[in-house]
Amino acid sequence: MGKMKFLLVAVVLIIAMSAGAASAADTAANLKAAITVWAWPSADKAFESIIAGFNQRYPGIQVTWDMKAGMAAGTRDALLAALAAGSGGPDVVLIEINDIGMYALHGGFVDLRKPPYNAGKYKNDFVGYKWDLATAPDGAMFAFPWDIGPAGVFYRRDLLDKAGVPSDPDRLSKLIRTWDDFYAVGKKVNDPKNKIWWTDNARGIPYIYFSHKNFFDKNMNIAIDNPTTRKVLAIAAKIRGAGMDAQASLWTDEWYTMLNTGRVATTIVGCWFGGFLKSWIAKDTGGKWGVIPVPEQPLQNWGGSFLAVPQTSENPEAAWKFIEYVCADANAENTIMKTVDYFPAYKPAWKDPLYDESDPFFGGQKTRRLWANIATSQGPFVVSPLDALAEQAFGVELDKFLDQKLDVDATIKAMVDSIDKKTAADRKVVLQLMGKR
Amino acid sequence: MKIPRNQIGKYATAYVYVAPFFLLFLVFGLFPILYSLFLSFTYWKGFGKPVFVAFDNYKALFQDQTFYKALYNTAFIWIVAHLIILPGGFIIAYLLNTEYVTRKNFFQAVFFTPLVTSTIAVSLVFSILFGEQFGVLNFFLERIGLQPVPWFHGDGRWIKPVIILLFSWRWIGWNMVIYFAGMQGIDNELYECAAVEGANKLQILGRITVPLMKPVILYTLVLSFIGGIQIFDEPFILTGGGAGYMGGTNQAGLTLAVQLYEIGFRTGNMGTASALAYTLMAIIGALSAFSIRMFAGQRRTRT
Repeated sequence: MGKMKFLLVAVVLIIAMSAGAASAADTAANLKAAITVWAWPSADKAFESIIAGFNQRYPGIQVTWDMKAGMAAGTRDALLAALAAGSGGPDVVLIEINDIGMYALHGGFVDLRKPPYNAGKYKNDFVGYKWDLATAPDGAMFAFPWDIGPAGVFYRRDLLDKAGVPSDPDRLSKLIRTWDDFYAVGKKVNDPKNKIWWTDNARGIPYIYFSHKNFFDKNMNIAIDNPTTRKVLAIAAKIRGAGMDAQASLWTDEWYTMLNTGRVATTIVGCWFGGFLKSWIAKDTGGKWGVIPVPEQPLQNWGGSFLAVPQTSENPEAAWKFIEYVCADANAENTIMKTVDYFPAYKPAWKDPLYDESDPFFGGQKTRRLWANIATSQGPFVVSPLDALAEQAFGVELDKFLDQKLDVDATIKAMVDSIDKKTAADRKVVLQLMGKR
Repeated sequence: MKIPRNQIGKYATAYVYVAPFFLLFLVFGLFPILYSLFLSFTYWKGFGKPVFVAFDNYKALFQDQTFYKALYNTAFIWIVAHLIILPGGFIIAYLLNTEYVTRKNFFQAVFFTPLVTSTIAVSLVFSILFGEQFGVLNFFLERIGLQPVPWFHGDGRWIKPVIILLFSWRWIGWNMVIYFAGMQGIDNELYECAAVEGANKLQILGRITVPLMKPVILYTLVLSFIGGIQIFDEPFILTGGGAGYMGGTNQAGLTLAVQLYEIGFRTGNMGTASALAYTLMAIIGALSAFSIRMFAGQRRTRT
């Protein structure tokens, strides 16, 4: 199997090489530079899988990568220190979606719209919301989109079968079109006496609706006081009240155990979670999983990352060539996806037959096509640099609401107040920057 | 105090010898301290020119309910935890110092181990103990017919006790070692003398050990003021997880140091974070001065 995989990668690389040779108009092919990339695992495996292809196209660019301890947060803290010091930073850095807004206001990155990078030409090739996230309020492109995390409802086929609910994803997604459907189906599966719950935590429903988005409108007014918010809060409270969620804390051993041993029937997460399940959370549950879109509003995203070039880089052009290859080359993107399951934001990559393969871990479902469809479906997706900040305030009130059974309207009011206070200073700056656009 | 010129020349070699510390301190100690004071009056995201905003950061901080919540949490955790740690450490040290306990080194090591254990391992053990549906403690509670405890949910009332437990478990050994060292320094003749005079164990403890240990107790108290107010690891491990914000439900476990981290690194507002850091420093300074004065005053009246 390992050998087969290697052969496959080699074939893809050879194709990539010849494709690179075909567009030999690239004058940068003889760029000579050594660049450093700061990131966190498993990006090292992703880079390993494509570095040969990259060096075929740019033999003069030598790439080394430094995986930071503490994953995304550790990389961020190290980068903040390097940027504040004004030296010692990398040429390319990996940025997680939760930090992207902070960096949009932070400054200190190369604007990739400008020549010689001209990243703007790729705009239509990328998922819309992802491109918006990489654009600062003044229009500067301070980062470049790598992978996305289209989100859906992951479910356990075995638990649904046991309850007599159709476990085929096509039939189930027709059965669960609204949140009321979600509740009704859940009623049949839920069995708390035997420690089996319909979902891991009811907070996941309101959370996914505001995951990196929709806290503000385009003019930076707080935009959460609306019927949609009321609806998702109410359904979450209804599910909690009916004892249909395990009240699990995410990213704890207990949560992993529940997923692994079939104690919770559903969890709402980003597509990368499939890789987590396969590789370490629930290795031995192959064939028992399925995914359907989030009811009522399928355009949802959780997670994803960007690559950026700090202004302190001495080789920004070589750095850009690396980013361009990693993020906007269909062959490289698909090699990475096969290696580490990073779902590309670069839409041309999705034409590959790879996306219509069925995934045995998910009972033969064509999950990649589903993720692509989710990422390009219609729906509200307004991003701002202050989403992560607003998300903290929102999360605090959301848990109070569910844990202490508070009133929906009072909760929304508390959320608006808290977001307003938390983002006041930064909002002024965002508006100023928007004026410069 | 002015040092005459010729004196500097006379001790030039000595100054060269102590220079490395002071140079390092200037660059890595004093400069950041003063620079963050400056930053606390600016809007700064960590890059580019800080924008002067006068007292806006302090105003925003003191108008934010979260700050008072964190202040209350910190004080609560600090006081309850130290009611366990300081007397507990003292009692353990006292018992170890008596002739009833053999293998003193072994017990010292046992009590000291939690402090040098990796926080990751500790957090793993605690998450297994305090799991809500499948945790060890709830398993036993259910076995004896009680309701399982929602450790990290509900109104968050269990979060502080869990943090206090973890904090005490980690730090009791540290204080025990310091007390033990202090007790070893007390002259045995005093004890023998008291025994000859017919004093019982309790009298010896109250009249000899505790008074002579006063400087050591003061030392642990001052260290506790500083360390306790900066409590970070335990709440961070236990409540920094999946919810996307720090402190757990109702932010019941949010301490000042955790809030500082959240403002500084999660939101990147270095100005507000610096303002909080200076507020924290003022609190620690005031409490340390208070405790030193309290003990110093007492000693003067005694002698």
